[in-house]
Amino acid sequence: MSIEQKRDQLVDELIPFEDPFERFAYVIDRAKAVPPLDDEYKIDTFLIKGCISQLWIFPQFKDGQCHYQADSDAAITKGTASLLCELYSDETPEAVIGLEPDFLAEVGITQHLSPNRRNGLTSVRQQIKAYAELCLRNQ
Amino acid sequence: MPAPFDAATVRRDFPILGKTFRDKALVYLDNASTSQKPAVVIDAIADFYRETNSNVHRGVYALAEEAEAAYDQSRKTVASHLNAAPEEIVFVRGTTEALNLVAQSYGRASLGSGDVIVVTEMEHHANIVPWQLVAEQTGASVKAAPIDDLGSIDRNALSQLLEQDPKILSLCHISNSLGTINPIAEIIAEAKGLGVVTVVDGAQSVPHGPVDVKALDCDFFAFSGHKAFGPMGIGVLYGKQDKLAQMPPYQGGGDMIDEVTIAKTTFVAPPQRFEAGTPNVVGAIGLGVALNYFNALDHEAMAAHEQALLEQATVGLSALPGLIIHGQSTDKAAVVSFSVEDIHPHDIATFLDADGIAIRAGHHCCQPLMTRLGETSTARASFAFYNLPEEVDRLVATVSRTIDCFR
Repeated sequence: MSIEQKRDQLVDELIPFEDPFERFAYVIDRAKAVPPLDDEYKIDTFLIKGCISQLWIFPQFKDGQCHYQADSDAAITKGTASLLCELYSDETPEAVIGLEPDFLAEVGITQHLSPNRRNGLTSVRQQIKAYAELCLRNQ
Repeated sequence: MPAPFDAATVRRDFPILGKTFRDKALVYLDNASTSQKPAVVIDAIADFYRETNSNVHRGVYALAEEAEAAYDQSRKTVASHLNAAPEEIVFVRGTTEALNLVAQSYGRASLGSGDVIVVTEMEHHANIVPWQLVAEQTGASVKAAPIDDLGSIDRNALSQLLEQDPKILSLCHISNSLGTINPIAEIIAEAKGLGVVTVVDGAQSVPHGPVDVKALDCDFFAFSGHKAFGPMGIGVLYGKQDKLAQMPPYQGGGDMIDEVTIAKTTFVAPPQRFEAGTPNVVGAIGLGVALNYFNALDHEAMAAHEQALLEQATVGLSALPGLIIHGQSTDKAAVVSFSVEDIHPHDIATFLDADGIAIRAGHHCCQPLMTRLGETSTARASFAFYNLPEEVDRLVATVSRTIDCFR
């Protein structure tokens, strides 16, 4: 499945929620489905700056593909970041760099987040993209 | 004789409270952070810029005299509100600046190596950090009186600290995080009996009822205009005349000098000695209007209304599974700080926000208190006299729904 198809699938899953509470519940379920990061990865190097909750994104590069895993002490933060991690995992650096996560606004995730939390999400995308750029340079 | 108090009526004085947010009527429960403003305050600010704007001090034209008169009148209004003399009222930016002023002027001039400043575990950072800064500069140290599990000051421990001959005791009248109303008059009397200078952070008490600094007999009392239905950027430091008179300037600049030569400057008497530069004239005027508005309300009925909201919120929230209320002192202002097992306070606040309910989640600038509570943050609903029982119902219902989404 291409990254665009993955994005479209996420949009299809998220669009039906008209009630923000149901959408949040879905995001929380996604958070619960992602195993916690080992404490050894919950370090400043992987901490996302600009996020009001503690959020770590642990990136890996294997066989030419990027992988990301998120963890946070706040479920909405972890769930939303995990949506992005899922989208951008198992993808080449070029694919990661080439797709902006505009769909989050389209499906109503961002408009129900406070500006502080939206800033955190922007930082997540920047971090994911920066890591892909690093992988590309080192390939 | 004030008109009978009715929250549904008075809230019409606050334009923002009629606002809908995310298609729902705004429920504003973040009053401990900042209060909303009645139309009379908003109008006073606009009117000043339309009709009176000019700089105060040394104006020799009618408009400047008008601005100066309005500014002076606000100082008198504040003084009368606190039962102080106008000369004892220093306009500052807010409680934070007031406490920094006391620390850097009175504290820096009077503290020395080995001296102790006593605060409490429930203080806002604004009543800890300024003392740490002056302690570093003078060789003094800061000690904190602990709190008990209900969120009240451990009076025995405080007494022990006071008996160790500290120079200054600085504590909040009401805790911003817990809502605890400290027995401030008793504590001040105890400290005063031991020769300790007393500083009261009144940021959370002024919005909830009248304060009489003469009856309290504190040396300093600080509050912010914006938490008391006035504008942001204006606050008040009350200082006893004899204390203010012995204090060196806090900042240098225009309007606080007597005579300046390149070799030496002499300073005017308080309060102007502590108001360097163009003051926040419109802020002071807005604050005066806010206090006049507040004083026209029936304070007793208002307090009873706030206590009823507190009781309703406490009973409603306590019944929810996994929810803990932090701060259960018997004497409490209308503030409910809470956490729910396995749910981050930011997530609670985000759910409530989706329902148009504004609360605060975080450490509330009280990290030492959070450490004491064993939390990194809490969710906090804080009420003002214009909040309604229906709003408390919405809070409880939405927190309940939030918990359901997590289970």
